[in-house]
Amino acid sequence: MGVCVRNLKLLKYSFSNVALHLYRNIQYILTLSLSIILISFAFITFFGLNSAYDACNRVLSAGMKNSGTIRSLDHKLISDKGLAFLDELQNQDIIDSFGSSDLRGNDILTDLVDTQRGHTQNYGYELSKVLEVLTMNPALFNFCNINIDEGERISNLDFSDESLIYLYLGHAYKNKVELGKTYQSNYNTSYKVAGFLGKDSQWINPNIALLFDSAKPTYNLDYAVIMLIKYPNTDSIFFNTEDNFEETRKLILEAAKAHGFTVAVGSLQTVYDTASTDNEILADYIKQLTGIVLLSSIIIMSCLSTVMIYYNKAQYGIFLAVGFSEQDIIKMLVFEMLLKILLSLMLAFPIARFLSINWFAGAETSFINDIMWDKTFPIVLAVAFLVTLVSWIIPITIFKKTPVTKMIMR
Amino acid sequence: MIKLSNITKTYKADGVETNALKGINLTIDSGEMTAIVGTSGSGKTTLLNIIGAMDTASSGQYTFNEIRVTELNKNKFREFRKDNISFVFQHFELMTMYDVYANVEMPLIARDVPRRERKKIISQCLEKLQIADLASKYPNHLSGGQQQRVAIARALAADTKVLLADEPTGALDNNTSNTLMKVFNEIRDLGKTVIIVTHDMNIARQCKRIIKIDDGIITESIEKS
Repeated sequence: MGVCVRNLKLLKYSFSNVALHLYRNIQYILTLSLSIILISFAFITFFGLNSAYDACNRVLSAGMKNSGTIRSLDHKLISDKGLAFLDELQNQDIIDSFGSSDLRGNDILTDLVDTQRGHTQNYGYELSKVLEVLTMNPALFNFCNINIDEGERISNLDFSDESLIYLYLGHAYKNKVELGKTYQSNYNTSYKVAGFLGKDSQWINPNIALLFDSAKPTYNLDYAVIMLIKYPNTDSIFFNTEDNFEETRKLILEAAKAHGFTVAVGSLQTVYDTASTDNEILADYIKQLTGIVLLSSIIIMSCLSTVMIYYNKAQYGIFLAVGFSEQDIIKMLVFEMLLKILLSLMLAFPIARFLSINWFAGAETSFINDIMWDKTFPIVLAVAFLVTLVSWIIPITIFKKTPVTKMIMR
Repeated sequence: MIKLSNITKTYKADGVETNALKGINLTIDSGEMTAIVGTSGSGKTTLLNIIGAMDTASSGQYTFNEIRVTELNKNKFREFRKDNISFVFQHFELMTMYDVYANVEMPLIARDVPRRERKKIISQCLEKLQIADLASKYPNHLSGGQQQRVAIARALAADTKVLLADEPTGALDNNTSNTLMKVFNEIRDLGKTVIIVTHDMNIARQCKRIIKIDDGIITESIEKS
């Protein structure tokens, strides 16, 4: 009981000490806060890269090693020539799946636009009548193994009527749109709701091939509208082939040439390999930067702690003279240290969070904010403790080696 | 009883050795009020620090009652100081961020005295030093004499056998000094051993025994009848 009271009093003395010398401790707290912020972002970058790599590895190991993008360099693929070109590719069985992400103004699917508003993946395109759709051919839908919660399985759908386009809607539409509802457009095309996806269904982001260092690895499909069409109508198309990629690439380039197109064909694997090399260099820089930040923080905080020990030495001397032990004083220092860590975290994390939310606001990069809380926070917390502990080694050694008489001496 | 036999203290600084104490032999009986006088640098504070277990002797034997202080390990040495010695300093050394009550409470916290008992002891000490009305004041708002009374109350609260005072009147005027000396005499009357280091012979004369020290050696020991 007595020891407990003594510890509580020591805690109180420590808190009073920090509060009383707050203007001096503020330098320490600011240094620790700054280093927490910098280290947070270093770790976020590490985990961000790893997360993108993991996603890509999953994609590659899941059979998408033979995946890539076809990008038209001179003519739009959305043209008769373009469709003829894509048709030829499919007829040769070279490519079995196509897909892309698209934005389109829509006056027909208004209830879908209303539900989706505020939940689009493409940040900044939340115009009142723009619907974001994922267009893919049935082969790609099958390939991605997207979970259907309610409605027809894709194998049961009849694609013979080219004027009918099937829609699969995200889970958010389930109680808002009727299953089987058909929308009639002015261009002799109708859209039919074929089914609803399971909650939290994911789809690999095709842009990951282009944005390895910052792309969100997967999409949540809760607000997605998937349109099953034979050919996606954008200039950049994600495709998959089961054949040798290099041979496929040659065939695509020849077919494009025959149709008067110039296209760029990128392999997911090549982009991944290039990005890996670039990111390894970046990761090395980040490692060095993190090391410099940690070392600088330890040196600065060691100096500040040593100054604080010198400044408070008379006080510690009095504590020893009235009967407290060295261990009691070290306990006080530890309590002070914990309080400073707490204050630093209270300052640093909201700042880091605020910066992270603003810097990584886009849908492509917003997953970084989740990384901050899920992975970075516990590690940064541990690093903050470690840095603080190491920075107190010298001051505590000085304290232990200073005789009581010298502490009290004016 | 305090017994020092052939105590020496040598300081080393920048490769130069300084002999602060050169073979001190001294016996102080329990309940005695002793003044150690000497000029600045004579070794009187060093001697007080060794008696108070704030510093260790380079050689010699220090015995306190039956305890061989010079042979104690670090922890026992600190325990010995906590159990037997209280200090009063020239510049009071109060914690300015805490009020008088909290200052006097500190040695009791260090000794794990229960709250109710602490309250009782603090109240008695403040009454004894006639500063009960200052309990909630902060040291910075008190006069030098009042601050020294608080420091003495703090020393008294620890309830140790020995009270050591290093130039306790050094920062005070004559009247206040004389009043404080009466307080020390009263403490002696409680059966405690009081040792005062001073360079002021007027203060020393108010003690039963005067020990003169010069250049680390006791040159004279005067005992009043």
